[in-house]
Amino acid sequence: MFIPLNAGRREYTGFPVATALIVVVNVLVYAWEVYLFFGLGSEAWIAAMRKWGFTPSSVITQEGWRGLTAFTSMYLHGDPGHIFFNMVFLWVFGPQIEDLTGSWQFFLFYTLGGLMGNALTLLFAPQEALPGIGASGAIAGVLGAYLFLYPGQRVRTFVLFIIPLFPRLPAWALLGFWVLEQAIVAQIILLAGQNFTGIGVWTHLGGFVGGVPLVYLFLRKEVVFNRETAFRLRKA
Amino acid sequence: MPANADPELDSLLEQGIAASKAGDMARARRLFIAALRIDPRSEQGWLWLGGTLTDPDERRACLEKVLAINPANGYAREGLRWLAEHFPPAPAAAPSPRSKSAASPCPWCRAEISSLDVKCPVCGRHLEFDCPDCEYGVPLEETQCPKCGRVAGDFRQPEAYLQNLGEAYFAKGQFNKGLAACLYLAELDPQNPQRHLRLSQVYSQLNRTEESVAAAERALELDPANADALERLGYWYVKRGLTDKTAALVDRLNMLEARPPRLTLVLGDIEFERRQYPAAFRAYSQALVTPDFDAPALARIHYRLGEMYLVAEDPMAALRSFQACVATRADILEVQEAQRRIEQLRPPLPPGALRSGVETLRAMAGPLLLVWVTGALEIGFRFQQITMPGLVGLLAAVPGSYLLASAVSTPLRWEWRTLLGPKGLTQPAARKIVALFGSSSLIIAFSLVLFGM
Repeated sequence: MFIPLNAGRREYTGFPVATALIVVVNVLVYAWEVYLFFGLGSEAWIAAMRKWGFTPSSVITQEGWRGLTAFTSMYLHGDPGHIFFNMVFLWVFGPQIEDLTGSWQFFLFYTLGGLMGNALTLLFAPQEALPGIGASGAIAGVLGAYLFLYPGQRVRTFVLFIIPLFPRLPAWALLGFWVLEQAIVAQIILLAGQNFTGIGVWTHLGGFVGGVPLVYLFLRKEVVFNRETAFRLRKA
Repeated sequence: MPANADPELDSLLEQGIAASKAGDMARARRLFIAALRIDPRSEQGWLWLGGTLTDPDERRACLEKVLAINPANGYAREGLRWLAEHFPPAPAAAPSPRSKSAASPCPWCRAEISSLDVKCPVCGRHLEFDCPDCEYGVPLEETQCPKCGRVAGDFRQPEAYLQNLGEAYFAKGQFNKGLAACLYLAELDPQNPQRHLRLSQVYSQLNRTEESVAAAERALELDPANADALERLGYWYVKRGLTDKTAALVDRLNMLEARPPRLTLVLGDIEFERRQYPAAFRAYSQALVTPDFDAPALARIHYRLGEMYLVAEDPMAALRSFQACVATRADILEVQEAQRRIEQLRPPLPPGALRSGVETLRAMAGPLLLVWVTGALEIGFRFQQITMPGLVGLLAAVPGSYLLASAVSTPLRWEWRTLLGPKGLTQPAARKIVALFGSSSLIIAFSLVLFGM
């Protein structure tokens, strides 16, 4: 198990407003879920997940809110571990990307990453009847963007391998390992013919693959042109 | 006993009377003296004080004081009559030497002192110090404050006593009183450089710069490698423009073996102020190798390195240094200045950035994809199920995103200049209107795609 702790310095000053707001909204929605589960019963919670989670088979049969659930599902989570790990990854990597895009653009990019994840799920598992929930697709987009923008950046990571360790791993190794893990799970699912893992691997991969090229559309002008200028200067 | 206007005075008198009745005359005397400091015209204070004294002349003086305040005071008259009978005053022609009341000798010089003395008449040193908590005068022979009970310590170990007292004063911000304690400590151990250094710090707190510098120089004479003294003097010499002394100090710093990082920083600061930039650069770079500094110190180092890189005409290195300065997030002026420098040093946006068609497309693509991917998900990629409203939404997203991108990202696109006046979209109002149209179109398109299909 590994948990990223610190992904490096930001270039622009300012508080990561969009990242913070997304985290807050996720936490508030999860609090609502907890209320549903413990206050109104597990059936109420299940009904809410079915209504607002992204269910590919419902989209195919044109039932329910369909496209809207592609957005709402990004803010639902199944258990404390699910939301914890998602928010940790978002809080570590999100501000770095928001720093280079700006807050509004980051929010749009984050949302688009989540939509790409849902789109790949729809393409590869159109018959899936279980609702997909979680911010994993959007966060995978953020990870993809980070790998594209900071491939060599060293990330302070907590690794539990018999004893706890805190190495500084390069982003390409850390995120590359994660992508490899997802690809292997995807291959296993394809071979098995069904997703028995409970992991939204298509959402992860869709968001990640979408995040790599899409972040370019949202970068600040200063970043785009400074990078180009810096690249030209290095070549010169 | 009739009440006085001051409750503290009442309290002191009550305590004094209780001590007198209990036979503790020394304590009673001190309490009455303290009461008389508050109100020198207190008849009771003088009356009872007289009762605690053994010397007839002193008793007589107290009673005469009472009559001076209140000529009708019967107790004073009775007391004077009794004294005249039993202890007739000495003839005026041969005045007897004033005898001292029974008080301890001066703890400093062992000279005879009066119980009323606050400072020794022979050596001039304090015989009592104000309590740091209640500011009541505590004689040196007392181990605790008679008023509030604060433990003062035993003056038979004067260094510990004064150390404790000085720290207590400083904790309360009473630097003037703490100075006296520090001066005595330095007097007791003049070869201890830390004593002089502490004096230097206290003088500095009191804005007595010359004395502060002199004390630091004494500390340095005693300990030529004293880091605190070197640091203090280094900054002062630079601030006061003492070139020769600064140069001598720099030599001393350079010759130090195993120079601690903070002194390396001092060396860097001095060399920077002297505009000896190569030496400053070496010192700062060395200091950064072992980063043992807080955020403000790190910010200052990076900022100064940036300034030196600018002098050396290396803007990229300067940019990196200023960015490192900003990254410390220290709340100092240098960080704000560094941010300003970064804005100045960043390569300017090329003109094409604000009018390039590619840049417009880049700005359009994000909102457009958002609408189209939403639409695709809404219909489950079954494009035969696109409805008319949905199709309108998909198509309306194009001009909407174009308008928004043009207004926000590339306001100098040529086609707008003639349409919206001589300055085109650079007019703030025109830009806002076009941005509003664009964003409204996008919202409508998004709604049609999401709810119309």
